[in-house]
Amino acid sequence: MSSSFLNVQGLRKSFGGHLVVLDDINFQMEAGERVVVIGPSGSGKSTLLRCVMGLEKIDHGRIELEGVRYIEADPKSTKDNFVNIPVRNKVGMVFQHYTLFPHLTVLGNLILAPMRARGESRSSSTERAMQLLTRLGLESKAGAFPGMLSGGQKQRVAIARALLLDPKIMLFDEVTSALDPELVTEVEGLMLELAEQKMSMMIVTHDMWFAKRIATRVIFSADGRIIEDAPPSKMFTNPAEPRTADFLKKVLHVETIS
Amino acid sequence: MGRYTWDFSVIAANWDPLMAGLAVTLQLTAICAVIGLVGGFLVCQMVMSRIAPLRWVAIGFIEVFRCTPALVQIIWIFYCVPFFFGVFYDPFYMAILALGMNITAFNAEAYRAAIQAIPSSHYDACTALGLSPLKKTLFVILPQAVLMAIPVLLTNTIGLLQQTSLVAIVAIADLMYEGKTLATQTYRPIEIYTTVAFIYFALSVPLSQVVGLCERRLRSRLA
Repeated sequence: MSSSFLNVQGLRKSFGGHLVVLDDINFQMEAGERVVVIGPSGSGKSTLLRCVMGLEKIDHGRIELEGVRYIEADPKSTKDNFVNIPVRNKVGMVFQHYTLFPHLTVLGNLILAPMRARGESRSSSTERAMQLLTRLGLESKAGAFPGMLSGGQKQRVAIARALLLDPKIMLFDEVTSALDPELVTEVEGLMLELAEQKMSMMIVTHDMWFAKRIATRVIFSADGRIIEDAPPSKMFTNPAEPRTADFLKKVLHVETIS
Repeated sequence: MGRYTWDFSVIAANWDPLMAGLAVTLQLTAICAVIGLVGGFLVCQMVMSRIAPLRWVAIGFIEVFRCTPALVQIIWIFYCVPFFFGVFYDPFYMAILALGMNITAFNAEAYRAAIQAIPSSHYDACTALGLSPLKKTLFVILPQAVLMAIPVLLTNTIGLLQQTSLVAIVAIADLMYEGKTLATQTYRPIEIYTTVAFIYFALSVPLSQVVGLCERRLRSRLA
């Protein structure tokens, strides 16, 4: 047990037992924190988020939310991890490629899980979905199919779909990477709005300026390990680790951003 | 060819048996199409099952029916099912059995291809939304698979309509059989087989138009 809001303990994840993607990750965050994970490709950033969501079978370690263990590896067994599904369902996630279901309308995508996974009535979930769509300025798209939306609209619908389940924490896995540059702002704007509402978030992004803007904490990971963990003001101006400085220099083409 | 005198009055004179044959053809097609739509999905689920023996049975079934001619299947079932199992049903049911299993095998492959075309990220999204495996299959995977499989399922059904003509070989009075009988009785095979061919064609063309329409609509919708 830990008092942390999200507590990742001794997390190890490999593919096929050989390729170690995450190696002994220990990580805590408090409610309302916005942790941005940065690092080179293949450093395990996305895998970390996928483990927290329970999408990956982990080799070792445990993950707790609000002091309740909801994922734990059994090192002696090759079977699936222990998963406490009701607790895991308090975690929401948005993916790089929208993953809206193309056979359902925008509204259909939004109310699917509230109705089918939570047993909420159609009228109540529809009402909540329409309120949320209105807030996002997407109410006119409720009856549209995802194929008719722009990338930015799709991603905002995907965020709305996750929000409708009232998650305690939202995971964003490179949600703007597939977007045309001019569409990035509308998605980032929505995420900044959520930040103002004190939503707890873990974000993987390649956009360092956005990271600096939204993060309360930045984690630099490389080779499956957390190399540095600092507030954005420190991470982007005066990183402690040489590897962090090298990485930032490569992606920013400047020494630091201020 | 030049000296042949066409006489289509033979068609008008024998309209009733031709239409009776057509009714049998349509019945066979409709019944086997339904068997294929449902059976194909079940066999596809077996092929994709985690349980190895189920997979083996389903794959064996599909390969047997894909890799032997439908004509041979019909004749084999007609002669061998009574021999091996000591039962004899009306040839019509034997034909349904043969053609139904044939299209089931082909439809199973159509469903499998459609299911495998669903991006794996959709499975992740279902987990992230808290949908159970059953709800995921029912509300996310199955509807998408059926939508994407529709063009191939319809194409298979057109093929089925043509293949029903093979049952004439075991003396089922379908359109082809009635045509063959009339051709020998009237000595007018040219007119009769031309008419029979035209009827199959006229039934299939609208279906193939529907396939094209479905493909265009799906492409715009599932983009």
